[in-house]
Amino acid sequence: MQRSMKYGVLMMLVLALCCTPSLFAQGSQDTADEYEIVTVVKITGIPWFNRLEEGVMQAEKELGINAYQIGPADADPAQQVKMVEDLISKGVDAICITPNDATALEPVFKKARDNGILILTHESPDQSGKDVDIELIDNVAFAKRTWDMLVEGMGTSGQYAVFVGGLTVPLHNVWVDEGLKYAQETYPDLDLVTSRIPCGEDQELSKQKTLELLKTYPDLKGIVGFGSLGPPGAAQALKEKGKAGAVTVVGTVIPGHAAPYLKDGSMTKGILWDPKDAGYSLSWVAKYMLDGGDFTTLTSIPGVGEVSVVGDVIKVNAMMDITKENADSFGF
Amino acid sequence: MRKLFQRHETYVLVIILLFSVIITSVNHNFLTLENALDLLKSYSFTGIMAIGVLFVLISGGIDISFAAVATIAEYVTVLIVLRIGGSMITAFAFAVLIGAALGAVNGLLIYRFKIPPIITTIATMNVYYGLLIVITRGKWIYALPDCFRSFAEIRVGSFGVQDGSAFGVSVVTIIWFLLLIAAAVLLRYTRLGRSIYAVGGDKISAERVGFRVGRVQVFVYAFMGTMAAIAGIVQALLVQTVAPNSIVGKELDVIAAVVLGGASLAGGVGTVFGTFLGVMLLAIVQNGMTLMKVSAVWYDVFVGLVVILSVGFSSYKQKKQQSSSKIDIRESAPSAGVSADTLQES
Amino acid sequence: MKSKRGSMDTLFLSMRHINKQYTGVKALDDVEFSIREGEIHCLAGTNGSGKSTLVKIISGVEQPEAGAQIEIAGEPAGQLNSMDSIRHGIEVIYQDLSLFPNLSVQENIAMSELVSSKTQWVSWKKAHTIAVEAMDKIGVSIPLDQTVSRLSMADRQLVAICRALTKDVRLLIMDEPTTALTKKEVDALLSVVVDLKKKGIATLFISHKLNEVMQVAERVTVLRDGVKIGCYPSSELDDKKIEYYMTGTTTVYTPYHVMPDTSGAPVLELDGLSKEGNFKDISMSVYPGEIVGITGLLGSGRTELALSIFGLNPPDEGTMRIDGEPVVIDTVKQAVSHGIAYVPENRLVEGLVLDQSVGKNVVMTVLDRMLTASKCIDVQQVDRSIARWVRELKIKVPSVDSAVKTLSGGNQQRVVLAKWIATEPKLFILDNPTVGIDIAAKTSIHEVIKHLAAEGVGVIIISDEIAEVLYTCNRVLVMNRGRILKQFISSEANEEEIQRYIESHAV
Repeated sequence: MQRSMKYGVLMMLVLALCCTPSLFAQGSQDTADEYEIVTVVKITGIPWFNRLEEGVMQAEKELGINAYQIGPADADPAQQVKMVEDLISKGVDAICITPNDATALEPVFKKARDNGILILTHESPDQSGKDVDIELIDNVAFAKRTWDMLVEGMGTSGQYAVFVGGLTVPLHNVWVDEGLKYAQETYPDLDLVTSRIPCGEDQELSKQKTLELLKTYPDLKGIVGFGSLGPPGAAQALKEKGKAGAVTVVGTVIPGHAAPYLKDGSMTKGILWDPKDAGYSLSWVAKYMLDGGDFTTLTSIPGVGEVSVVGDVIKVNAMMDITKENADSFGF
Repeated sequence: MRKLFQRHETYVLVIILLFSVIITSVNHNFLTLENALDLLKSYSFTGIMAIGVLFVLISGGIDISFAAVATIAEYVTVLIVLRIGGSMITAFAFAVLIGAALGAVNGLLIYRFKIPPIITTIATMNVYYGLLIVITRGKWIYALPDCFRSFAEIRVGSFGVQDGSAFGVSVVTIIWFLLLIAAAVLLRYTRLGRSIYAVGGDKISAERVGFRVGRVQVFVYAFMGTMAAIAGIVQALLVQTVAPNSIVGKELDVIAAVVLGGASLAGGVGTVFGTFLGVMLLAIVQNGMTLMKVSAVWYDVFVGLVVILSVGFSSYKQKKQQSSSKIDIRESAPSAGVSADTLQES
Repeated sequence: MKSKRGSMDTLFLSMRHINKQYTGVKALDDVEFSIREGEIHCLAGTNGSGKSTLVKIISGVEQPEAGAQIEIAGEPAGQLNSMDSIRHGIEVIYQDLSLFPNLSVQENIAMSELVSSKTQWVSWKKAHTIAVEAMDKIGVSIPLDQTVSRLSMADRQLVAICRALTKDVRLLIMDEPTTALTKKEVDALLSVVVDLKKKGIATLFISHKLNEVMQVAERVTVLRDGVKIGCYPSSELDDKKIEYYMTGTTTVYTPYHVMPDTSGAPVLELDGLSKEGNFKDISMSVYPGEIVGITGLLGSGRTELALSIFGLNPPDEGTMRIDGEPVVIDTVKQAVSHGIAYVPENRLVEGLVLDQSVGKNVVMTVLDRMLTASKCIDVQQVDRSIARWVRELKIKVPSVDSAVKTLSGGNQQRVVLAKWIATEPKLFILDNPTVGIDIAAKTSIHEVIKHLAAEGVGVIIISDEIAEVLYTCNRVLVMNRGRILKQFISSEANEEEIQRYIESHAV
């Protein structure tokens, strides 16, 4: 009995520790005369958001604000809600957030705005409860560009397959939907051999799936991969089977990761935007608005580029091709 | 023959053959040496971790932290080799050292504080993985040491040329098979191996017979850590990239494969051969899905069904055998009918 | 080795001033104990008398308090730990047998040898030899590659003995070895022990079942409440005396004589009930208020018959009538709805949820009758019902919230009884209701059963112990190879005659 009590106490302790990530979250000292602008990302510890954080850091240095980034250890909406609540009680000036779940966050957004805190979202244009959303790409244009890339490699007819990170990842599936629609209209001779395969976030799995596809569809001419590990996995499989270059591989990739595959020809081209720009833009717009600026009249963000404003969404066209020539120049 | 049908392995083998026939009938590319070797290569990573999980399950425990251990061993080893140089041998040595140490921590916690293994390893998984993220900030390593690149390309034998590329038995497959053999010998022919079965069968009895249960437990978890570490290096060899989050999340797949192979979560039961078959069954089902042109949305459904069917079928069989053996005892009176009749008539 | 062993009169083990206290409770109070070389000795006492504690001290699992003197083979042995004991040739076979259910017979037998061998490598050939030799020593043969979990209790016992014999054993301690065995199996076991004596190996039985132990033991040491009552040559003891020493009182078996009311229909009537491979052509009846005993060897079909009546083993042919109405019972649910209750033999695994409280176990079977209008459990009614059964069955518990596993065997059995009596059955089937519990508890359980019958319930008791059915039941049926061989009116029968029918043409 006593023993189990002891475990009970221990377990509670462990649970308590697990439940207070904010205990260990690094925060900067609160200085009264600086704006405190916090960026909450989907998940910490992956290269994508590490790169985004670089933009946040750049903004802190250049704009004289107190800006930093936090995020849950896994892509958990509930943890994001809790983090936002913590930030409200802390009394920050603005929260820039990449939501894991649009609806789950609505109530806390309202609470934050009631407390006079600005809410800026990213990758969530239809989010309600926000002040403004910033999109680095136009999803439709992004999808079209990807399919154009595919056609540049394989020509306007032939068999191809599509990888996504997961069947429930919104962005990837939006791109695929848009891409397929575009392909039907513009390239009717393209033949999608099987429905989208959820392997794009796992390089080993992508490689295995590519091997299987090659065996099942010997005439396969192209692979579109969303999720940054799909194209490298596919490229690896092609290299192993001596088919590098024979099958066109395009999709979203981290430039540093894709560089070797682009250079040896097993990957054709990558497409992406720089998350650093997103991190910088969010903090920049937040400061601009805190200073009393009106985002509807905004025409450009210094260092990022021209913007267009549609309703409460600021669109920056930051889409870029990643090729063997430029892959090493991004710094991430 | 009858004995053969009492073994779980037989059923897994039958199911594997059944699937192979079905898949081949849809796609002839399934039953080729090339596909077999590709599978053996891709699944060597899962297979090596499965060996460790098998040991833990036999001993009556469970480990959830092995994917985190594998990641740490992989990441730290690659960092070390990048910094100070060295060969694959040093890489494996470092990895094994790290894996065994982290595993031993699990074993010690479980033995010393008598915390249920599932809680202990969930906790250490968080700690291990969390520390890795804190220290690395989630940075990926794209440029592996040269030795990783050249070692991964080693293969034995050359079985014909297809589309300009020869294929053979990959070095990682060989590592996996060597470990399988070593594990089988260890389990079957050493006192240590038998003590794992004894502890898994009945901990109190094992203590009474004179086994040091604590040592066995620490060994088992350290061994699990070692296998995880080797698997981690194999994963690096396979994908030529090291990402702090690429292995975490595969725990349940591995445990499912081991259970498919006949190990029991209750402990005391399981074989290396069975585990191998379990991994292959999982591999074939996942592989076969694309080859049979099944839409990807159905993948998880099929994998789940196969697990339920094969585990369920075998335990149903066993249950039936048990109850029928009960009646065997009752019926052990030979020619029961005859003698009773005579007695009644007299 | 042989020369070192003295004559039969020299003491192998001698212990004096053994004291042991567990959190305030005195388990052993200045106990003195000795056993000669090659002696067959019995340590008798009820549950909680301290006999298990004494065994733990001999085997080195527990250490006595300061002042204890222990001598082994004439040499002071000081404090023993388990390794010391094993080195001195003391082997304990616990009641749970300490076998590995997942491993083969061969490996179980060779396990001790495996542990103490110098090499890390396992030689299966050697293990085979060891197992065969050990089995030869006691003249048994069990399939070596069989998994132990598939063996009968008797065979498991033999495996445990074989394992003990693989070492140079001088004293074999067996804790309650006969509880799970039938008469024939007990005889086989005892002949093994006599064999061991010829080899100079002493045996210490721990038991509260009297008869079979008396047959072979030379001396009997009796403990009661941690105090040694005495050590008696078994020739001076009879059942009555040893029972008196153990409990401090004498129980008087009051035979159960009733003339049941046969005017109405019997509660249960079987006509030509058969099940392939289990039993054949069973015809019997149980009237309200009757206690009918069924005895026979393990494998005579008695348990299978009980299971058939309870819907767990549907028969192939024959008819079953409840209160004169023909019924078909294929499931437990049907059996329960016809008012049949069944208390299985292995109370520990089948009858109770050991980690749950006494109260929850008692009302387990009747919860669905204690619902409020809104289909929620009526807590007050549940509490009342628990209190009632705990009181009526005299279950000794500190609180009804205590886990069942903390209770003694007798009290556990009473909880099982309470659980089924709470369903207010018409027919109550008890399979070996008093296995492994001491005399005092046994008597009180028999009282409960008689009390129940007096209220008009029909009772069937299945037991290996002839005395139990003879003195508790008004009729005794002997089953032999699936048939009812003979029916006795218990007031007109005696144990010897029943025994003869049980064993006639025995295998």
